[in-house]
Amino acid sequence: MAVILPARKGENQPLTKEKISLPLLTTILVSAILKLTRKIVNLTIYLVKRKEAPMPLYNRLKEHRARLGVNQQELGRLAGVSRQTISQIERGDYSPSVTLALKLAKLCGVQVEDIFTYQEDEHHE
Amino acid sequence: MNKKPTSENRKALPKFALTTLGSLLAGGALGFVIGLTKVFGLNVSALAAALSAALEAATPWGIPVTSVLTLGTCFFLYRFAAKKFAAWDGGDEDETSESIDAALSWVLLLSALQLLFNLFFLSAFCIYWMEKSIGALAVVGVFLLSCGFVMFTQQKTIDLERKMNPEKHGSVYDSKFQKKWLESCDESERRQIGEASRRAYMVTSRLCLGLWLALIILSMMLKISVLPTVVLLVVWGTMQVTYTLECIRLGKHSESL
Repeated sequence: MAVILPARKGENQPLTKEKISLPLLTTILVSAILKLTRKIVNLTIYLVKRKEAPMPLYNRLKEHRARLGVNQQELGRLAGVSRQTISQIERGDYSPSVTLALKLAKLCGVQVEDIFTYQEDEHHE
Repeated sequence: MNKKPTSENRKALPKFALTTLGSLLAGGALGFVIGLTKVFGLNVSALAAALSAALEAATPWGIPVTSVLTLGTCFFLYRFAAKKFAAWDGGDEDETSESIDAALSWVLLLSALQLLFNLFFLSAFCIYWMEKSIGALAVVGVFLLSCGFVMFTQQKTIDLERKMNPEKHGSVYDSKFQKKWLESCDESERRQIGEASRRAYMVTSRLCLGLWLALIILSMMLKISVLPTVVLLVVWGTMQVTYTLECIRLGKHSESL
């Protein structure tokens, strides 16, 4: 449906909006909504991550594993867990249970505190 | 007396009230729009009939076309994962193993989706074409063939996953596969499964609410019976009851998952 706009200064013919097609308007609107939604989601994720406390457990598992001369898969097999779990522990993405921490310490031949340290203790030292 | 629950309720109440008010206004606006469509004679029935006709025409081709698309994609993803695994020396490169895991997860997801497509198009065939008795055997045959390919794809994927993780047990052809696989998962993997399940529960709950709203609106515009709503509420109710009962059971005993 054409919408008649008032003629601009110096123009004789009234302008119409027929040139602006509905699919184009819809596309522009949808892409603007998607961009806005993406920004809101990213902002939400950023705010949530800021609120999350950093992992307080500091570990030296990688060093001890290198000292033993085994790879993650082998250490996982010895500890009865998957390679991914060893990798996640070393990256600090996962805090092991007490049982697993004790197993790993025993395999490395050290005390649990030699591998895992509570990060607040590190700051106080 | 512990006043914390009261103060937390007081903090959350304004947002809850605003959300309720917003939902009321949105519902009122939507109802107004539905009323307008009836007043201005928007022919929803004709639209529904057109969609139904399109689905009827697409039904015989649905399973073959979707199978080619999804299982074809699965084939390339599996081949990518298998090549990476062959080149991987079992070392500590997280990126390599993560990319293999991601590819295999996508294969499992796409194959599960294909199974849903198969069930959907078979149901559509039973509704639209059964009385015409045209090619019923052929469609059932294609359905079974596609399901067979889905199972084969999943089996190859699980086998590759087990090569990467030798501690895993279970065969896709075993009826107790999920139980055996879960038992061979370690604490970190079980935690991930728990988180993923919780997320699925949250998303499905919201989806069920949205679907219920959509069905209410559709029932005002089209002559759909109460059956879709009943089915939805059965699924939603089963999920809620199972989740809650399982939480109660896990809270009572100290047994591990």
